[in-house]
Amino acid sequence: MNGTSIRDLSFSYENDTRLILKDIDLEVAAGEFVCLLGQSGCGKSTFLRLLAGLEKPTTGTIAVDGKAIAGAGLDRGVVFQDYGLFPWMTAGDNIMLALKQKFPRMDKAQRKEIALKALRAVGLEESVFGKLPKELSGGMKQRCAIAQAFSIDPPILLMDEPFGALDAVTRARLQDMVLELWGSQQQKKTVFFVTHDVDEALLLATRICVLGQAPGRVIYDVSIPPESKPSRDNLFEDTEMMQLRNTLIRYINRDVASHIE
Amino acid sequence: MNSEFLAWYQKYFVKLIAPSIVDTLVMLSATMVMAIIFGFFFGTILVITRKNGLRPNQPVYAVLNFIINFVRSFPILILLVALLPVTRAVVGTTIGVKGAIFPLTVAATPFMARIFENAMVEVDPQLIEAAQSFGASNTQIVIKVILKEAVPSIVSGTILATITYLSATTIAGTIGAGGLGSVAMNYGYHRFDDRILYTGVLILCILVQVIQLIGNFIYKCVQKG
Repeated sequence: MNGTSIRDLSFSYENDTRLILKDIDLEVAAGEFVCLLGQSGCGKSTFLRLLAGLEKPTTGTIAVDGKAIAGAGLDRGVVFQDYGLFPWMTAGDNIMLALKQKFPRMDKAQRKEIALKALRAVGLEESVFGKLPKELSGGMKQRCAIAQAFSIDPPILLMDEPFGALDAVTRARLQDMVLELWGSQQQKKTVFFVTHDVDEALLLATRICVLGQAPGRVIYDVSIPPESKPSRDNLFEDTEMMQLRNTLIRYINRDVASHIE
Repeated sequence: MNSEFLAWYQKYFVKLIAPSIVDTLVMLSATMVMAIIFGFFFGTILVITRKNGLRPNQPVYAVLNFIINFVRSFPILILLVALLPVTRAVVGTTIGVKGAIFPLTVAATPFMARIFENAMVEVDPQLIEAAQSFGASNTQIVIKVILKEAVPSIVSGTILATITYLSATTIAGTIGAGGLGSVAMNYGYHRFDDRILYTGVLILCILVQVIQLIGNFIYKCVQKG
């Protein structure tokens, strides 16, 4: 169910011969939490935009359940770094709009119920439902965006540095929340999570793909089995994790260094 | 003095200036309504077909862009004069209120198209992508996201255009259109009647203030949140 297979994926912008992504081959099983790790500018966000269907691959295919994706769709929820909430609508209306797109026949009371449930699930009070995005803090806005993404219950979730604009404490709280939300579901979502933060990747991922620089390609691919997954408390005491951390950092930096020379 | 003023008031204000205010407002509102309709149409095409637009189309964009720049490069008076034969062919007359609305609309439409374009281009691309990720169609995105988000900029641009084209109606007044401009020129300036000239000027000043006030009020209403 909902395996994602990426074959020979390359991407370059129109009228530009420079490749942004090159020959990416990735087989992702349903329920994996994949962190795409890399330096800024390596094309990891572009890769996510391709998965979202917001850009079209230059060559290669992206298939979900064996079906090639055609454009953006509600089977893949997107959480943007800058929240992507419509500023003229309350948080609740934003969530209800997504629900209406996904379930056009659902009546308003039912949509409201789901929206409220989604807000509670991300640790927000129900009063947030009637608030405009500008009345909320960055962390609350991102919680709303996550609530929105989860409310339409897509099998695949794409998150583009969702916590990049948040302070360290809020970021840690939201990381825990996402992990809990993801882990609590019977049918685990496949998550593609873009980040440049190695510790964030170690904490969240069941699989980490390091993308190299110009053109972006997978230079290191490692799975973290559930039994050896670190928690926030023991992350820095776990020698195995620390070794992995050093390896990841080495891979990221090596490619950057070879590129500068 | 008092009875002399009353006589002037009866003769010129009631019979001449007051109807000319109505003429000016009719010309201005008809011009702006048409310019908003056509300007919205062309502005939207520009936004959709531009590079990185929802449906990029270089030839369409280039042609439309050229036409808009071409029309906008005419000084308003020259454009009105140059359009005289076209105006006669289209509306049958080149004088009066009727003869002025057509050329003024031609002049104001590219201006409004740019206002729509600029306002809509400013919309945060991430909001458009958010809508796309919900599976919104291009039409939905234009109407429910781009237009919605651009409304405050469109309103302030429209106020600007309305005031600009209020002065354009008075310029049209010098070459045969009706309205305050023609009264101030023909009865005031050419007949050395300062009272009429400056009454016209004063009324135009008041009109500008009123338009700006109404505009600011609408702007406040549509501003998000």
